[in-house]
Amino acid sequence: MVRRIPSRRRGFTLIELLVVIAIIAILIGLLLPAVQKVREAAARSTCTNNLKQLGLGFHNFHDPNNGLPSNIRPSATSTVRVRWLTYLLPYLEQDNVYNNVNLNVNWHQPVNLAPGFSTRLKVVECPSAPNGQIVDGAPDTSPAWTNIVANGDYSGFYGVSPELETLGLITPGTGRVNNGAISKTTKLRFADFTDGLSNTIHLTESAGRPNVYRNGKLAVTAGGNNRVNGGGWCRPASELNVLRGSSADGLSFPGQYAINVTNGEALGTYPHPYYNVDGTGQVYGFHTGGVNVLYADGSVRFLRSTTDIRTLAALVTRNGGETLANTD
Amino acid sequence: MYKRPAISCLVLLALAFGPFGCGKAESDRKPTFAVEGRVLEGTKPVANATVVFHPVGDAGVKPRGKTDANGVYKLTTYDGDDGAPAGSYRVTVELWATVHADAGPVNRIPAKYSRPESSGFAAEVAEGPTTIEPFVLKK
Repeated sequence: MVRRIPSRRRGFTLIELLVVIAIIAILIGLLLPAVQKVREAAARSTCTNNLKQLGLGFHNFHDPNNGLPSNIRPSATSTVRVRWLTYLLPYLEQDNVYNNVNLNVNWHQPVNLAPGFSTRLKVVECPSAPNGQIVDGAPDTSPAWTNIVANGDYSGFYGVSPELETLGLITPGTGRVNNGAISKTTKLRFADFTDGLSNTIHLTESAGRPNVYRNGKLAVTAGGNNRVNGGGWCRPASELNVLRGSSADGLSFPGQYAINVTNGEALGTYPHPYYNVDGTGQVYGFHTGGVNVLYADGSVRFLRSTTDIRTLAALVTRNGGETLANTD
Repeated sequence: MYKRPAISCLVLLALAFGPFGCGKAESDRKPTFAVEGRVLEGTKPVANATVVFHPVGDAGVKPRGKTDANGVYKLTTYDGDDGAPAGSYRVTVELWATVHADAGPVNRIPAKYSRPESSGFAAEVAEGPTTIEPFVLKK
C-alpha cells in the first residue's frame, strides 16, 4: 500500500493576486467610460429624434392651419394662457391629451391637469436630462408654484435681447424682442422666415428646469421664487423669451456666454423686473459639448457650446438679414 | 521571481494615475479688478439699471453690471462680479424692463444714455479695486 504523501500544492503568491486584480481593475476602468459614451450617444440620438418629431409636427400643422401655432395670451389681464405645444398635440399623435384639456380656462385649473397637462410626453423629454421626477407649477395656484404639470425640455425664442446690441455682441438692428421663430399671439407663417428656414432656430434645449443648473452642476433646487421660471411643457413661460447670455459662471445677465452655461436665471422676485411674468430659461442641454437644435426647415443639428453668441443670435432671428458662417 | 511583479505593479499604478495630471487650458482673459459704483436720478438711486463700460479704442469685451435697490452696481467681465480690466471707458446706462407682458422688455430711460457718444459718462479703472463716482441721470 502506497501512501501518498500530501505534497504542498503550489499556490499563488499575494503579489501575483494583486497584479491580476490590478489588471482587471484597469480593464474595467477602460471599459466603463466607453459604455457611458455609448449610452450618452443613444440618449442624444433619441433627443435628436424628439426634435425631429416636433419639426414634422410644425410642418404638418402649417398648411391646414395657414401658419404656425403661437403662444396665446388673449390679453395682459387674461389668466388663460396656452402654449404652441398644446395646439401641436394632434400632430404628435397625442389627440387623447388634447381632447382632455379645456382651453377656455388656464392650464393650471384642476380640470386641465389629470389626464391633461400632468401627462408626461416622451417627445418633449430629453433622456440625457435629469427630468421625469421634476414637475413644474404655476404662480397663480395657492400656494404658488405647487408642482402640478409635467416638464418638457424643448423651447424656442421670441427674439434677441436688445441689451446685447449695447454690449456689441450682435449685429446692430437685430436685438428685437419679437424676431424669433416662436411668436406671441400673432400667427407666423414660413414666409415670415426671410433668413431662410435652414438658418433659423425653431427649438433648442433648456433642460433641467425649474431647478437651476450651472456648468453641469445642480445649483438651486426649485422652491418658491428660487427657480427658473419655466419647465412645464404646457406653459408659455417655458419659452426661452429673448436670447440674453450670461457670464461664464452663469451668475450675471446679460453676457457673452450662451450655451450650456446655465439653464436659466433664478427668479428671486415674481414678477421679475426684466422678464416680468415671462420665462427666464437659457439654452442648456445635458449633452457633452453642445445642444441639439431643431431648425425651421425640420433639420436637427448639434450646436457646439463654443459657438459665438453673435452666430447664435443670427440663428435665432428669422428676419435679421445676417450672413452666417458655417456653424458645424 | 519576486522583483518583477513589484515593478509591474509600479508601472500599472503609473498608468492608472498618469492621465490625471492635465492642467487647465489657458484662456485669453485679461486680468480684472473689482469695480463698483452707483447710478442716481437726481439724488434717488436707480434700481435694475444696466451699466455698460465701453473700452476706449479697444473692441474687447464690455464689462457690465446691474444696479440693486440702492443703485449700486458691480462690474462683470467674464465671471459674476469679477470687475473690469484696467483702462479708460465710456459708460452707458439702460433700464430694460417688461411692463406689458406681451410687449417684451423696453428701455425706460432716455436713449441718449444708451449710446457711448452721447451719454457723457466716462470712467477710469485702475489696477486695483476701484470705486467709480456716481453717474447722475437728469430727468
